[in-house]
Amino acid sequence: MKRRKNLMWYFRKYKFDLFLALPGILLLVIFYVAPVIAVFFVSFTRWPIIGAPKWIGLKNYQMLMSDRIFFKSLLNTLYYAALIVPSLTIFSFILALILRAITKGREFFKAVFVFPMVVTLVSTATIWKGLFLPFGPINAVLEFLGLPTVQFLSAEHVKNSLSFILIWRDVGYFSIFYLAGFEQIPTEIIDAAKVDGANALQRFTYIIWPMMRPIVVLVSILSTIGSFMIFTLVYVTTRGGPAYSSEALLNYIYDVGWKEFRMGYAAAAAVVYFVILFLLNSFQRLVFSRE
Amino acid sequence: MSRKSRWVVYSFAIFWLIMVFFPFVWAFRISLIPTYTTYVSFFPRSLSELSLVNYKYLLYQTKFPRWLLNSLIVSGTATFLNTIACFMLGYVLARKRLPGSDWIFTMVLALMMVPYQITIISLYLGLSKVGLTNNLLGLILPMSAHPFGVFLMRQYILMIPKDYEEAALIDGSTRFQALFRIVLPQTLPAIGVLLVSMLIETWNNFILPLVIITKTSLKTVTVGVADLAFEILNTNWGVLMAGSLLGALPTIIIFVIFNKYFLKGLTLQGGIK
Repeated sequence: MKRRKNLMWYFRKYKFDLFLALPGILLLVIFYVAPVIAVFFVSFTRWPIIGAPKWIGLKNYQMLMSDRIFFKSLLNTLYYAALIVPSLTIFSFILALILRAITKGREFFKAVFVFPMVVTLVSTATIWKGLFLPFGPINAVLEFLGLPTVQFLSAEHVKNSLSFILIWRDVGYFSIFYLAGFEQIPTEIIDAAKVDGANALQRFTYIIWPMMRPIVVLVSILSTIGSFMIFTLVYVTTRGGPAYSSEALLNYIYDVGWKEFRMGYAAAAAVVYFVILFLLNSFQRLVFSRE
Repeated sequence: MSRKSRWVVYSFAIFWLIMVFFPFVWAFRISLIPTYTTYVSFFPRSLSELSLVNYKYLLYQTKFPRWLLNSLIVSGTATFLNTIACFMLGYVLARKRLPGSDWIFTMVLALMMVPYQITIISLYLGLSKVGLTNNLLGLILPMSAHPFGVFLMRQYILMIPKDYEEAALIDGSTRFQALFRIVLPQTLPAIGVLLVSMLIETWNNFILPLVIITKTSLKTVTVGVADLAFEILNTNWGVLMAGSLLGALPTIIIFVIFNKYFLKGLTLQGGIK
């Protein structure tokens, strides 16, 4: 009896705050926390959408181990990340240096560089697919310059071409992160270093780089997550082809789940996807936060 | 800065500006070509070479207007619900009004690091169990939950002094009035950031509508354009380019008007972590 009275007392005291907090908490728990936890359980079942799930233990994971297309898409995803993450981390840093040097019209150029990020990726991917046509405009330019033409979406080049689109799209976006970091470095420190005779390289290695390191970590982590989400780009341009050469992990999960209706198996692949991404991000934090 | 290095900086900035806009300008040019071909010269010789026939086809022969409407409904409602929920929860967390507020905030921070794609499978299974697949509500509700919004609101409200609300309470206003008349107006800059970022993000979301909606008339514009890309791929590039541009137009307009808020949101993300 006493406990119940306590609960009522709590309820009365916090009535208004509960009313404020509940919608947000419920939305997050139902549509975020619960699905993340549930995917682990689903991965231990056979669940052909229609019909009841059947507990099969680790069988899905055993099947994944001998699934060649799964490994192909896993390797492709790592390939995308290996190409995209360093490029974005470096090129957006350079772009931020340029933005920093711009005095007149900096806000304008900031908006311009971020612009591709605002356009829905479906549209961007469709347009780039047109640009990459065998007889499309890019090859026309190459021909005009006397260079050999390229089959951009062939098995040989497709991963590089798609990575290029993603880099083109995100580089301006991440440069804003760096720029925000630059603005936090007090100009007095740099001026003082200049007075003391530090050259540009010394100013960079001893002042700018150490202060920028947290942002480098952030950009490399966010671009890793971004490169793992290359799904939309692949789906619109090639649907994973030719012959799975551009298939990313998320595309494979989609195919298994919504083309073959094997939700349990797709969930197991999603868990692997999550674990690999988590390990990569932890590794990035570790590497950059040392010293 | 010397004149020479300034020249280098600006010429590189302008080079990247051209790189950014070239694909869209090209797409616009293609969308004005009346028949299927991509081999025309980029600069039209006369205005009579241009035609709006692709846009007409898109608006009258496909479900495109319906997809636009769906996107508008989903994006608008989700952004609205999300902003209110985030504001209220962010306030409670900032003022630590409930026991365990910091614990809840830690959960929010952890969620920001989880790629939401892995929720798709269980979301789909759950929503189909309660009959919300092929239903716009099944898109709106999951999109209304966004940890970044809670994070943003909490951080911003932390910077607003408590004194105003307390003075209002002493003067006899209710908690409700104090929150919506005193705190809300001071939070407007952050709410602007959240509104613009959420509108753009929900409009551009692809994987969720792709799996939740299979009925053509309920699709959002992103999925609709992706469908067009595969259905009429080798028959009409003009229509495809017109669809790509029109489908992206709403977020472009929002960005052109409110890009300051969007950039502010990015700066906050980059600065805080």
